[in-house]
Amino acid sequence: MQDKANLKKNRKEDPSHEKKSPPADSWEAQKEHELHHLEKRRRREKRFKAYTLGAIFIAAAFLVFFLVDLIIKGYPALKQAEIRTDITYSPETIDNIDQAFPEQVRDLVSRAAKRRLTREAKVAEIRIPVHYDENTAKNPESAIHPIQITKADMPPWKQDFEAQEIPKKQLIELIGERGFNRIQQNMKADPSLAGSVREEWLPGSDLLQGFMHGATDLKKEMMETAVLLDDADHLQMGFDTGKYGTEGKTVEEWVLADSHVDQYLKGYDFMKPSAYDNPANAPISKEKAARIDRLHEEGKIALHFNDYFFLNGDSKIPEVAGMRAAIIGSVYVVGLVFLICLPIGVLTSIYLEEFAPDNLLTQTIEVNINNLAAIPSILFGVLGLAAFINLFGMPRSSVLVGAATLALMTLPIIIIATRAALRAVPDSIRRAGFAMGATRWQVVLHHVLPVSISGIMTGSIIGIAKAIGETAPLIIVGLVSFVPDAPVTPTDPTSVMPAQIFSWWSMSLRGFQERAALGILVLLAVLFFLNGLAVFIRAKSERSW
Amino acid sequence: MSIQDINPTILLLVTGLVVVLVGRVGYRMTRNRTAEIADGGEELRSTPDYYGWYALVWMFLPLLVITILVAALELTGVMSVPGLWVAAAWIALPALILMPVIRSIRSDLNARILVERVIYGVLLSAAMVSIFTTIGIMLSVLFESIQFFQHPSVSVTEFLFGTEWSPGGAFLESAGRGTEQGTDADFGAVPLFAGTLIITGIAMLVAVPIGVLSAIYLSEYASKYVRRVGKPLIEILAGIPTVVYGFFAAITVAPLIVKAAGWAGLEASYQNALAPGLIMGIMIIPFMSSLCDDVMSSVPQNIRRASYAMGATSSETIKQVVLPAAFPGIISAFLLAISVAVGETMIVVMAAGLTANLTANPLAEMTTVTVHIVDNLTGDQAYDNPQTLSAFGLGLTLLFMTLILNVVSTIVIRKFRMRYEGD
Amino acid sequence: MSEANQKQQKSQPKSEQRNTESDRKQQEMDAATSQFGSQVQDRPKPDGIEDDSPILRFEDFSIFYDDFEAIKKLTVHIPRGEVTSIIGPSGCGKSTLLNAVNRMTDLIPGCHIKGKMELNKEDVFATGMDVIWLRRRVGMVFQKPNPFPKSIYDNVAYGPKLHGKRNGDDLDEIVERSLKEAALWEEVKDRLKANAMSLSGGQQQRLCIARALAINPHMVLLDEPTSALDPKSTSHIETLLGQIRGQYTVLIVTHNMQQAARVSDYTLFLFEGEMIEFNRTADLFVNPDKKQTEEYITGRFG
Repeated sequence: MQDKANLKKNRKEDPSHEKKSPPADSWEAQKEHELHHLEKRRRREKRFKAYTLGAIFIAAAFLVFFLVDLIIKGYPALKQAEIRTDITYSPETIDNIDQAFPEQVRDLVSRAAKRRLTREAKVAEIRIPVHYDENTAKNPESAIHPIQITKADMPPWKQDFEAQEIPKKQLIELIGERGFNRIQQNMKADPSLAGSVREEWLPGSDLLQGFMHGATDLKKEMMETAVLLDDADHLQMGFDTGKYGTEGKTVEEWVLADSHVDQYLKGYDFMKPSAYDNPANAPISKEKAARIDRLHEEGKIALHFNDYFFLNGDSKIPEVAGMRAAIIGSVYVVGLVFLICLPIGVLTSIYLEEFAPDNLLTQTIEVNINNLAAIPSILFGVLGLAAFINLFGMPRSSVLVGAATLALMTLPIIIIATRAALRAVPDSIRRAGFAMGATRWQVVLHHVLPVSISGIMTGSIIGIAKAIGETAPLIIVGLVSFVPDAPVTPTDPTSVMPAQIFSWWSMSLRGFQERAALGILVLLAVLFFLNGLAVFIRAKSERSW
Repeated sequence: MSIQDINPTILLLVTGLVVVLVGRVGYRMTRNRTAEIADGGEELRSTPDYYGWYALVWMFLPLLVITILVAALELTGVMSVPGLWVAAAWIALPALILMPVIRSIRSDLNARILVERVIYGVLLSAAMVSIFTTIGIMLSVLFESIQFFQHPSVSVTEFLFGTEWSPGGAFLESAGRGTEQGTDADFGAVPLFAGTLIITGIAMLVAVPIGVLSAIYLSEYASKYVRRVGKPLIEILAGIPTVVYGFFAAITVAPLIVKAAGWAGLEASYQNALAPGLIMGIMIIPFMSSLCDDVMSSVPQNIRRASYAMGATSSETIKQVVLPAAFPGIISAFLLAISVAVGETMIVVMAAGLTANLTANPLAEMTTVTVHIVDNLTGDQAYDNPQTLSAFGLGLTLLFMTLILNVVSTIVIRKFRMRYEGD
Repeated sequence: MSEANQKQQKSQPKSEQRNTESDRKQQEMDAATSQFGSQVQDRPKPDGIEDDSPILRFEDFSIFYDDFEAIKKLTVHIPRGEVTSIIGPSGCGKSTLLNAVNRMTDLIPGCHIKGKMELNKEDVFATGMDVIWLRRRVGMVFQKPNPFPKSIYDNVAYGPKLHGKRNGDDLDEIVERSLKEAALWEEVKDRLKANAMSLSGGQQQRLCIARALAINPHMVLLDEPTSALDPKSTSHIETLLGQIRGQYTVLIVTHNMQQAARVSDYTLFLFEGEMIEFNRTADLFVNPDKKQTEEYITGRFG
């Protein structure tokens, strides 16, 4: 609009000052006119500069808003509500764990905490005839004799069973130190036992504890024996009298509170019963809210540092869900990616920069690498699904398939960075090497690589940082499934940090949102560290030729 | 305990140890032999190291090739070779080969040629990995797409031009109950294309002006110091993982938009297209900005000087000289940015919807191609179900779109660079 | 020189029509005052100042790059309406001096000045001086041809458009006049819309001259304008310099002494930032005052 107006104005003015005004006095007049015109141009200049500065400002403002918002959302998850309460451990309460807590906190304690108590208060026990004699106190192992399992001991669905003897050696292994301690204690408490045979429930060895808790890494024959004993009712989970005495005891402890309590205590509006017209819709009742407030005032409920988040793996219960498994998974996956990508990437770059003849194949590879860098990451996931899982039979959700998929995606990034680093090495260095009679490979190995190593590392770190944050292809190859444990071997299923964030985000319980936000902060911190490292390496090795 | 029961890890370790040992011995022996020859007064064609490597190549390279072939056969299920055999071969054969190799070493044997050739071969095979990746992506997407398009309930024309996307009935149909239930599966992808296009469009409306203007500020106005701070500041946006953007768009931005729309008397869906579009735009700003910065910096300085010498202000120089000169480069950046937006997945998966609505209202729920690729590949449907396969059809379209955008942008930028090559 | 005059005459008739009476009056004045009466043009002098005061006046003028003094206390008056060449060995500061005239030195970080330089009696480095306005008064041609990647027409019209001329007819006229003055019109008149990058190097440089002339400058600065060109294009440009002689004040930096002798009326010899000698070209080359000058022009150093 304004331009048009200017145009018209200028058309009118042009003849007057161009043709009519006499040149003799046009000097001053012209100058004045032009300075006036210039003022307009200056204003336009200022406006334009303000626009460009504004663009930077918008980007920066977004960044600030974004980070502040995430910190506000994620910071509360650093704390977790815990309840100070009496817990009664006794043979009765342990099978009905709610009874272990006073009534006023019974519905405030986390299900996970209750489950943990049950587990901790119980111990795997083995039923076995103990042959007491004078030697027992000194050598309790002599009290154990092989036992016979007969058809009659077996449950109805295992009647095709033939009688079997469990050898003494295996029984000793299952009983372990704790069991033998019990035998010695019994003997001490009642020396008259000598000479008698009594059937006892003995606490089992770590091996047995593991088996009863579902561990599967036992030796084959021990596993078979344990299953057999279990079928014959020789194994059970019993109250741990070793820890709590036969009568049980009551202790005061901090236990994890339910997620609702936690969220209410953190003051979120959506938790307040007053925010709901229909009280039935509120996540907690008015009475419960009042109770939480009272306990909070009494110091019986408090927010403590959330170490669960950093020590636990994923869980379906929000208050115990943690990121440990995902962090280990990320390190594992990305470590593999690095191991795959760095050699292939560096070799490819050396080929393209130092060896490749200028032919069709080389051009194809070059164009191809650039295209590969621009292909949407999700298509690498599709490739991983079709090639690695369906064709090569790699296990879905595994470290291996995740790393292989991400490696293909990261490779072009590393190649492009490495090539730039190699290209920055001046030719004079190569010529000097050749002049000494070195072969091409020796020149690369002895002269080019050593000076470009920091560039290569910088590029690789940036590629790795991208791999750490990548989610889409991993969803396709199944890395976003519920995996509570950290992976050990490359074929184990795993989760990774961004996938963990994604799966928490998709949970409906509010407690998970907070953890997703904290997970994001952890992920951003990792990325910030990596990028800082890259900047540091670059700055340290900056040289001008 | 039979010999078959040896723990594979132990087997691998033992074999590896033996291989390293045999390798070292072979290398040493060969070097010693060359030293003898040299002591005899004959001049060697290569340095002794090369003879050592020469022996290693003969000892292990053929074996390596065979092992890779065997592994390939094993993986594809053609035949199975016990690991013990392979291990035995690795332990025994190199030692057997070593003797004739050492005997073959003479002063006129140029070991360097073979070794360098092997190095070249290794480098070339590394470079081929990227080619195989591309071929792999194309084949994996193509094969399953063909299967998809051959399915009786799918047609290419319906896919490209149909406006109804409801693959839900597909599994009934494949169970032979499609017609009796009256639920027909529809695979008209136009609503997905439209959703992708609209979200991409919103993203471009954010990214292009902010990206270009900030590039102008950084490359033309900013002092060295401001540039040193400003550039990384914008680059931070590029380093944020997309899952984080997705979370932010879904949890913070979408509710804000709903609130704002409600305040303005409009109704917005929580899965509106505006939130993912805006955030995707923010994500693309650094991409746009750094590409534009690059092309503007490659506009030769002397053209700018000419303009300043004519009495132009900075903004006049930028608008009338620098930008027109850099225009092809900016177009190329624009095309690349579109291809990034089209292929972006997490933001739309988290903040856009699943329902295929054909609408132009950015406040309505919308869905995209990538959302449905993820959705269809993560469901519990059978792999050969048309709903699952439709992901590959969509993937093929996506691949096609991004490839075209990339190729065009490469051509444009190459022409741009050629113009200023002389300077 | 006579050949140049003949060519000049050919291009006169059209511009004659534009002249007003006062223009003619002014020409008479010019004719009376100019030392080269035979070359007086039918157009007004672009700077609009009719007296014989020097166009450029340096008083104790120094230029520094950070601490390095590139030009040392230069005091000289450059005459109006003449071609003055600056010669000297490489690195003597000739380009720096030229760039200071329209304050292109502002674009170089660390560059600052001391002393005084007046263009048309106005202090160029005064705090109130508007750089944009200053540059609009001074045309500049660079070492390497640097046309904008636009059409030939847009290249020439760029300056006038910047400075507020939007009228199509006026612009057409300016473009034609400038291209004619730069002796390029005949070669490009049929393809004014073609991209300037498609011209040959010599043509591009003449286009840059046309572009500089299009803003009616008080003064034209030429920074080794032929050093990147072949001999034929060089002679083209020297010819056109002969043609615009007298219409414009020209300051040309060259390190080709023959060129300086051929095209300029006055010559300034600089050595290591100091002015050694300033005189009429004929006198300086035939009869130098200083020994250094003689040594330089006889090729003993530089």
